[in-house]
Amino acid sequence: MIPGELVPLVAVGVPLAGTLGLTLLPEIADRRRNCWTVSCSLAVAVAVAVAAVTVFRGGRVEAGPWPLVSGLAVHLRLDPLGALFALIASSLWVLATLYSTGYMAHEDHRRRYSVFWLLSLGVTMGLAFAANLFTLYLFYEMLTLSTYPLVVHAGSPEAARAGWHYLGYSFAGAALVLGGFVVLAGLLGPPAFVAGGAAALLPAGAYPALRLAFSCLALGFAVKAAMIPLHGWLPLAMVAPTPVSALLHAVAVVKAGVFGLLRTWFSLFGPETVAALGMVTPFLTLAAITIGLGSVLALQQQDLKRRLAYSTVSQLAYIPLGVALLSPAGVAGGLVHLINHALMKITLFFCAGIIITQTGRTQVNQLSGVGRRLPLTMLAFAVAALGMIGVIPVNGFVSKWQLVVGALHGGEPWVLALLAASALLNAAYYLPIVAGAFFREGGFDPPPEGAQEAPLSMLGPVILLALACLLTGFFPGWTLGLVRAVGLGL
Amino acid sequence: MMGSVTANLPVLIVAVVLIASYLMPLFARYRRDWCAPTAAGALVAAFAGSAALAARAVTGEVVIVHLGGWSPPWGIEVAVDALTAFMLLVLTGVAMLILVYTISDIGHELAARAVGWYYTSFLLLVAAMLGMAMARDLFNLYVFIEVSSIGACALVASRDTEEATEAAFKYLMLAALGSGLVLFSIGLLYQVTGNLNFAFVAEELTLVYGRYPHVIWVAMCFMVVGFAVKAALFPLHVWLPDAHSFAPSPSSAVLSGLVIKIYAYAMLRLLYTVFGTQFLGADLAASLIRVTLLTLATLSIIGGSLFALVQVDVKRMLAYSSVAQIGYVFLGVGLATPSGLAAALIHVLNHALIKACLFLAAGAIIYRTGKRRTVDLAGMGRRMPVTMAAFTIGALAMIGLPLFNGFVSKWLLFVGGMQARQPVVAGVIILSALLNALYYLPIIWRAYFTPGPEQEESQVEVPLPMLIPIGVLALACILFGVWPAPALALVNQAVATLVPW
Repeated sequence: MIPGELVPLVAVGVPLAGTLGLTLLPEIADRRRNCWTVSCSLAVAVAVAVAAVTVFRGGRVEAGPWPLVSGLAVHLRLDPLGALFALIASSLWVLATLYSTGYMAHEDHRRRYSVFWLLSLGVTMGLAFAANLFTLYLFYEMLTLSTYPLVVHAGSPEAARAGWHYLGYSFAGAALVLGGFVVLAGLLGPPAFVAGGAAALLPAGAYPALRLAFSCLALGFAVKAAMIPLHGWLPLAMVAPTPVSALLHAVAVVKAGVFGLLRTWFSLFGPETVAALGMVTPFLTLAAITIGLGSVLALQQQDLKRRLAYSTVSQLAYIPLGVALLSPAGVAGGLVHLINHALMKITLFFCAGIIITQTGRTQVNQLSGVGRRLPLTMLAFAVAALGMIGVIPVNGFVSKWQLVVGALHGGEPWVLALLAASALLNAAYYLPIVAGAFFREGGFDPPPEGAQEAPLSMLGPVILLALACLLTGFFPGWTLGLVRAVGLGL
Repeated sequence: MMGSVTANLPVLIVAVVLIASYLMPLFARYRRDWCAPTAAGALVAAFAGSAALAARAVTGEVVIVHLGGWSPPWGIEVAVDALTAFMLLVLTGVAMLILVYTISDIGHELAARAVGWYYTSFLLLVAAMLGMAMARDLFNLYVFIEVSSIGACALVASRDTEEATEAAFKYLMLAALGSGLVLFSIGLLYQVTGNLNFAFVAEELTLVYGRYPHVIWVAMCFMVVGFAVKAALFPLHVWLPDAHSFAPSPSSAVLSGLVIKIYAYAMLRLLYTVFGTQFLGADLAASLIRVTLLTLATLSIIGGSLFALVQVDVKRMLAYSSVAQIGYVFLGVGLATPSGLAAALIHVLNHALIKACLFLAAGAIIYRTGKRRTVDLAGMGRRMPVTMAAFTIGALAMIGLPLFNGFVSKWLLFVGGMQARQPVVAGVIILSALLNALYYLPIIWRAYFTPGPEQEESQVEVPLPMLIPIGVLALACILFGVWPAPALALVNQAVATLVPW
């Protein structure tokens, strides 16, 4: 058994140290490099799993604090919420690493790609393990820097433009987070994450300043969570290689933003304080607008990856929406969507990546009949798409049901209409793809005898993930049990 | 023997550098290859001496030397407390690294006959700065200010091009204006107190403040403006961009990294020890001066960054960035709180490391490729990997990302702003970080992600003696970001001795 002090160091340190190993390998040593990245991410996943089990059993997983300067310290500690995020990110990272070994085989600059890929893993783990706002801010800022080279990987003028938007939005967001941090630190010293909220005990006289701090933090994290109107960078960032889009822009980066929002909500302010500050309604409104508008925008996209990106914008907002309903079922709905959306969206992106590499088609209207050529891929796509719409028995239904219950408990029945509208819009932009792929003619031939439709390193993760979407839909008790445990610890 | 060395160590540090400086023209004429080792040896010795003094000063001990055994107010007093020891360490440490770089670089930038004189002025400048750091009377302070002005102008003029001469002339004029204002202030102080030694002047000032408040305020204002000119505080910075960008790269590093800081130090020392209560007081004049300092510092931070944003020449951009960064130091001084003061001091160290690193890296690129424009640096990450890595570290530190030393300064400045009930400081810091990102990141992005011209694919890293100082400075930026404790120990001791809060 690894002692609790070591796990955070393993989870954060192994990828960071692993990048050093990667830089030593020559560009052409693809096999060794792939082995190395996969085993590093596997090691992280195992360490996180061990840590999560320890945490859910009430144990302590903590490293530090390492004091830096006058009250600031880097401090890593896992709590249930962090464990949830770390579990999702690290396990999906393993699959995505496998997938990207297949996807990237024909791209340039593979070494640079792997270096920043691993670096991003370490930074994401740092986010999950952060025990105070300073550490979170530190890794939030580093996440931008470590993922930027992945976003602009193609090196085209388009990628450059996307890169600028990414940096601009992200740094502005991080600056807002820093601003909120500074205001909070002025009120109560550098804030640590405490169950129930570090700022919960402040007197009402501090509320104007707290309001400012909350707005800064919420907007700052909303940038990475791609909440409208701060989402502009996400669709542009789809120029990145598909594994990057899948992992970073459906799972790690955007979820880091959502995770930051959850931290702000639960560990810094506490729901009661947020309510007392009168910030619930603006927050809820922002989430609702994002859900509605994101779906409408997705409907207009002809590029498959961009459609998925806008779908991410819309779906991610379910999580803050659930949280802002201020009822246990709503919180559970939001948190369970953190898991479910990650599973579904990464499946969709992986399928999109297979479509792009195998057929070269990127536009939605070019995909008629693609199910003939890529039957398994499109089946997986169909499963995840149905989940997005919220059809039983895929896991997306579980989230929606919880959110509906949460909305009724929280006294916000209009959310039902919103969810129904969103489901309808989701159906409108996913079902035509699925239906067209299987039931329309488009000049695709079935895969030649004996040949796979995509390399196993790409198809394997897709099938696993589609199964996971189904399993978590069939057995919602697993994920719901987990998020309820997390909810209790908030 | 040993005892007299330790007792007179402060004087010896200055003397060693000064003597080495005087030897340089001789060596340059008769033994040219002795120049570089002697200069480096002198600075290494000075650094070792400073380290020994710092080890004593960090405990709160003050090493005082009365020259010739004459005690003040008649004799000349030299003292090393924690603040002086801190400055000595920064000055000698960074100057030493820059000198190592200079040895390989300077033959490339100057005519052979000028090299000996270059070392002369370099060492003269360092000696004068060391003297300023330990001077304890107004007269000697003024002498060293003038010597350092001459040394600095010589470093700029050494290039012997039309632009460099013009820049040096402009620098000389404005530096003379600044020294003139300081001299005027010293004259006024001497008139009302009849003393030149800091401690005696300070004591007299409290006695005569009631009788001559206006004279003392005027003296304080002249002092602040004089040093603000010499430290290039916006809008008195007009001489700096030319001087720092047309000078040879090691000169730019020493001018931007050290010289403007030493004037900020001199002002800080005078405001806090000589004017002490008059500066920190609650009356209108004192608070007006503090507010003026804060305003000018803020203007400097924002204005310097805005000007840097539109520069196409990388060295000019770095020069404007120095205008912005010196604003941080003045901001800390103007806040007049323990953390603010600590921020000002730690930023003296941090900016010296960062800016020296950036100027030397830019110099290395110019040395190899002759490229000065930011847009021409495409593909440089591949051609000069170590240099560009150091430049990147420096740039990130300048932006103030956590775990780089720039962040430590910014955080302390923010805490100082809170102590002084000036939350606007936080906004200024964040805005400045964003502006910094706007002009540093494009360079890095181009260097790594834009392919350079086809024919320039081979690696052209500079020779090792130039690479080592750049690397050491870059590593120091990280070291003092991750582990600022040793520097902070000295700084906190300095703050504690400076003002009994």
